[in-house]
Amino acid sequence: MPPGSGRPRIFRGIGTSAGIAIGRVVLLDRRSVRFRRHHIEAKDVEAEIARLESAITASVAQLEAVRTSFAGSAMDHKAILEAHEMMLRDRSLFTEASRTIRDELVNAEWAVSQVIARIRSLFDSVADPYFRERKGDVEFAGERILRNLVGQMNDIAEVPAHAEGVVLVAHDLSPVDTAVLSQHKVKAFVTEVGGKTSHSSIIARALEIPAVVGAHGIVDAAGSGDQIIIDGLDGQVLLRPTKIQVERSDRRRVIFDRMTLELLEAQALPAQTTDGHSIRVAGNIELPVEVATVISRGGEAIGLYRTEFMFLGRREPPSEEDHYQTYRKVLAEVGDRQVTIRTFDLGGDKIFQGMAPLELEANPALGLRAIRYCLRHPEIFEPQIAGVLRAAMHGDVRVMLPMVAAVEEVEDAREVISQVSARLTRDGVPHKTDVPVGIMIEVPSAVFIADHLAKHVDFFAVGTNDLLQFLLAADRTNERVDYLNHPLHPSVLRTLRTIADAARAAHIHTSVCGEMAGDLENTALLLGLGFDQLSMNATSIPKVKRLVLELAKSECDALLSETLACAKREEVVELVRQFMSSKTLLQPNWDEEDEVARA
Amino acid sequence: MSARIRRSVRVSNDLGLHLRAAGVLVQMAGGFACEITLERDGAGGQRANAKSIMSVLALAAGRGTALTVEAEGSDAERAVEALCALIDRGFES
Repeated sequence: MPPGSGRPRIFRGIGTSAGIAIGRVVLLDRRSVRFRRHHIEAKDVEAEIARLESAITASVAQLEAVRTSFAGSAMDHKAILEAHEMMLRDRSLFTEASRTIRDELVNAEWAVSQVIARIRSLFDSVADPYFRERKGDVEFAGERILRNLVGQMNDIAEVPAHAEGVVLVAHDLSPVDTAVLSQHKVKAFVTEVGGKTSHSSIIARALEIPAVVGAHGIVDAAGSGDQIIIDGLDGQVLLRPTKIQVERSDRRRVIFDRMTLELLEAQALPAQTTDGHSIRVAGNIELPVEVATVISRGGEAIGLYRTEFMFLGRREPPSEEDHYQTYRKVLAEVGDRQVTIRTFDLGGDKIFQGMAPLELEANPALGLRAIRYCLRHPEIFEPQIAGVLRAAMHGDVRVMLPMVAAVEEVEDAREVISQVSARLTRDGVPHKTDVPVGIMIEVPSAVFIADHLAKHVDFFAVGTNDLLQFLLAADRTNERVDYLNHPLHPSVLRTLRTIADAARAAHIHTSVCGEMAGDLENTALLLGLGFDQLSMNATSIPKVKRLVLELAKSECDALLSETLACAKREEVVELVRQFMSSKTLLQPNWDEEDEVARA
Repeated sequence: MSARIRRSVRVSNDLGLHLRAAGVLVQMAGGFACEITLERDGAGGQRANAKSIMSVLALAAGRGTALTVEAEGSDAERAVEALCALIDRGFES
């Protein structure tokens, strides 16, 4: 059928990546690879296995080439390609396929297809839709090996350009397809299979292009060059649309793009309420490589740098030099943003090779860990402090002590810090002598002496994960009581108020850096409580910033006083839900449609 | 030293042991010399080789799944420690 001919058709699928695109169809025909089972001679077994091995090697190399040429910033996409590479490298795949070749004397194609069929059958019985869809990933890995075996590799090299933009129509897309397509400025895609969590959807969201999956029958109906509209918001696909449909979709597109622009702006703006109250939105990291993600999502500081990972893969505790070099790497990436380095939270159930052997503890969460452990083990603590003080010459660094339960612990830690500083001075090593020292507030005893502690430290950071489990005496690893660990329990709000009030009275900086900080449900209350900083996972940063821009400090204060009067968690939750329902969050405003039409 | 170490852990992040998480876990597991197995808690607990991504994915360990990490070999202690910590952190990295 020539392009543009045929009647308009509407397909309903699932919109998996928001946005609206109008363009021209490019059809991707992906018939499955054909091969037969055939018998091989025993003397040819090794050669057949070698053929399998080289097909796998070629497959890995192809994926690697796509991944490295894929210079985009879509980290999710790279991670998916890496996971596919790992599937190809999976030794169990190779081992089982070689065993099938050897035991059944069959060709490599047949052996691979048998192993893949067996693996995919494991997924068929899975109830969870996300995991069930992973069989698609396994099939792509298998199909790539098969294509390399039969010499029919057909990755997309070029996508024909079209002035109106290209919309890809396919039965399904492999991650390699999508990686290549992203470099060819595809405006959107639609597939017949897949779900919200299939890789093509994940990648579409990462690339921020509209996508619809589950549009059954579209491959047969569409002709290359046909006009097509993909509406990733409601999952609608309009093939060969009428003039009226095009105009309407175009208006929707303008409104959606407006909203997207707003989110982008929110990411770049400082988080400030409508009545001028500022809060700093920061990111949590564990490894230096995570800094880039925090910054790209609009993080204004590193509010919690967990350092325990320095121990991984080491036989000896990290040396002063190890610490110094690692922290410098982080500082080189953050520019003038502040970095809060948390000293080791080790001991209890967190043990690594290279640490002194621990006594078995009946209750490790309440045991010799964190600052308690560090004060007992200067051979581990002092090199870290020295590394921090030296690195502080190269940026805005704060040091934070975890699990503080008593003023004496702060005094002892400060004594260690001044001794280390004195030693560095004696040895003529450049370092900063007045690095701000703060504490994590995560033990209930610290809450009740917060006013005293505030006189000894430069800042507080509330670690809500531990604080909740200690406050409610509910082990968060115990599913039977974990329901109690809810940040909107009235006792949690009162605790946070005590901490915030003590910090305010002493004029010291306060932040919240547990999971609670990144959940939009808590943002208004944390603003009301008057925290100076919220530190969270990178992915939450833009959403929290966007919400802050929509809130007024005064309404947050009002919500806080209402919730502080509640007796039960359910009452708090309900008040917050009502409050949030008046927020637009990130819903496009369709009421503007008429206005856009007139313009 | 070649001891068998077992420890229970609960998958707590939203997506569970999803594709990327499985990738991170398998990569970490591959860095240890010992054999590492993940086992779903409960009757007839399905087992997975922690060094095989397909095997780990087929466990379909969604949010809230209780798993036992088991390792045997010279660095078993360290491996169990690292993997449990990773799962505990919700594969954040």
